[in-house]
Amino acid sequence: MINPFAYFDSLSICRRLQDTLGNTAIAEIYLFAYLACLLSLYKKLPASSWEYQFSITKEGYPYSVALDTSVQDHINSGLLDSKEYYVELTESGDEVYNQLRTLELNNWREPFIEGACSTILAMPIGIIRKSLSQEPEIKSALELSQSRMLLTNAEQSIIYEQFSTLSSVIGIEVRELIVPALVWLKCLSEQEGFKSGSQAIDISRS
Amino acid sequence: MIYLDPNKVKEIVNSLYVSQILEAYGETGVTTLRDILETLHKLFQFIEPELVKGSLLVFKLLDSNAGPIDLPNPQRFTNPQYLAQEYATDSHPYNSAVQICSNGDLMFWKDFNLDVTQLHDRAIVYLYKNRQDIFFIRGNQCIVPNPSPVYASFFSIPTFRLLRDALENYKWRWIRTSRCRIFCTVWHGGEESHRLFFINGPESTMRRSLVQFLDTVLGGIAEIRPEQVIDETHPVDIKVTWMFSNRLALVEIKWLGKSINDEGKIVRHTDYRAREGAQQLAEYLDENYAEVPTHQTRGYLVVIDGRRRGLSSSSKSVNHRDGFWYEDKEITYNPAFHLIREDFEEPIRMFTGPICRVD
Repeated sequence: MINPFAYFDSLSICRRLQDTLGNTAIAEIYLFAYLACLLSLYKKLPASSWEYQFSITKEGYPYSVALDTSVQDHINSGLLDSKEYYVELTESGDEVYNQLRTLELNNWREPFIEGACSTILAMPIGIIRKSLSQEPEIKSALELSQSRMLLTNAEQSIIYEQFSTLSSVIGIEVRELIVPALVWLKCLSEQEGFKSGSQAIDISRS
Repeated sequence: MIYLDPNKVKEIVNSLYVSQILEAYGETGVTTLRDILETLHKLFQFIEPELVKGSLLVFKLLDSNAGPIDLPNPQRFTNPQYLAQEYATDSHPYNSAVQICSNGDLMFWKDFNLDVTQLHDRAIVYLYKNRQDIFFIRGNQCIVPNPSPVYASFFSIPTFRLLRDALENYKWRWIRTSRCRIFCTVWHGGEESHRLFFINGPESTMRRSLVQFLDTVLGGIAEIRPEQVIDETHPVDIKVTWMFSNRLALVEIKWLGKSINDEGKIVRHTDYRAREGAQQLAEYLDENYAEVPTHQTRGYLVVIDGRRRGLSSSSKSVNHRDGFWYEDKEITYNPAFHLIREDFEEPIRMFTGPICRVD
């Protein structure tokens, strides 16, 4: 059964990433959907309001069964064109997206998706992913090399705590969610564990 | 870290241009900034920032009803690609500027002589100059840190979809002139050396350099792991695993040239080493296929070529002819696995040049 919210989110994310990257990897759909969900927590919405769940793989990648199912459905019905493990929104997909985004059911999600996807304008995706891997839940799963569900009750409280600190500085009323997204990713990337690991900060000669 | 340090957050907010723009210009400023960032990415796909002489200003007025600013001789473009072509045809655009109009059109001036301070209060202003990305925020300059300054602009750091494309970029941008801070330490004598000899055992450093590069440019879709065990004898240098797919790449790195240790002992690797590497990689691919037959695995042989002609242990410099003697000397492989195996990519030789004396 197709989750209608995952159905919409996958089209919306493809639409936005395609403008900058030309096409979208399925892993990127999961990554930015998860980041969008986290941004809804910034606005103090419960994770359950996102209407589908995420898990983390042993390699530290966010994953969603609901998104996976939707993407496969989009490919089968011609809304997404699949080429060499990347997908592109077709003309039909673009039309369907433009119709769905007008629905109240979906349009409240757009600012979160916009905020998440806009981060690629200000950060290479590799750095976004590495920063996100420092998010407490993901980091913990990576260290234990285990896959599990994300955003359980206990773990949500940690995220809310972090975002509370963030919003006390930036302001929760901010509409352009690219701002808290980038500040938070920067905070994560500057943790000690990130600096000592494999990442791209300051590796080149001037 | 579970809890964010509020002081750290404030420090980041005060230094990040995005939050500074929010503070100075409000939400409209950030919305306008997004338009600028989108345009920058598109422009730098077609304009190599390294080739920008002087400066390039990109701005958008905060007032969405405002038209183009009143300056003579603008050219109007609807597509950044055409603007880039116009930019490239003129060998001397010095202080050029691009205004992003409210309808998305781009106004282009080749010789922009308006004082930037006249725009600060009514526009989001970006300036590229001397390999720096700068935002002017209410008269203050906010420089965008570039984590990978091999690329002249932070906004030109690419995301590659194909590993081959990434390796080609690595070859020309990072290795050719030893620009990578990690890679440049493979030279005996360090960063200031003439790059004649490698250090003893440069392989791990070369691997680390390539891993860091791939981590940045392959996007959020691939896991890059160094020294992955394939068989009992030797781990492959790098394994690239694309998430949520059955694709794998095995990357083997070999170097050619001479290394010298602290006792002055020279080890020489000729093109034989490259052929040996090809054989090794073919064996890894066979082993890997036996382990994971359902995966689509591809082998990439990267040959770092630091050969110089006529070097001896007492050589302190090299002339251009000898230093670049091997620049175009491609390696003949027999067997040519890339021609007889579907899973074997054509080897990529990356010549890395010396600093030559002037004769």
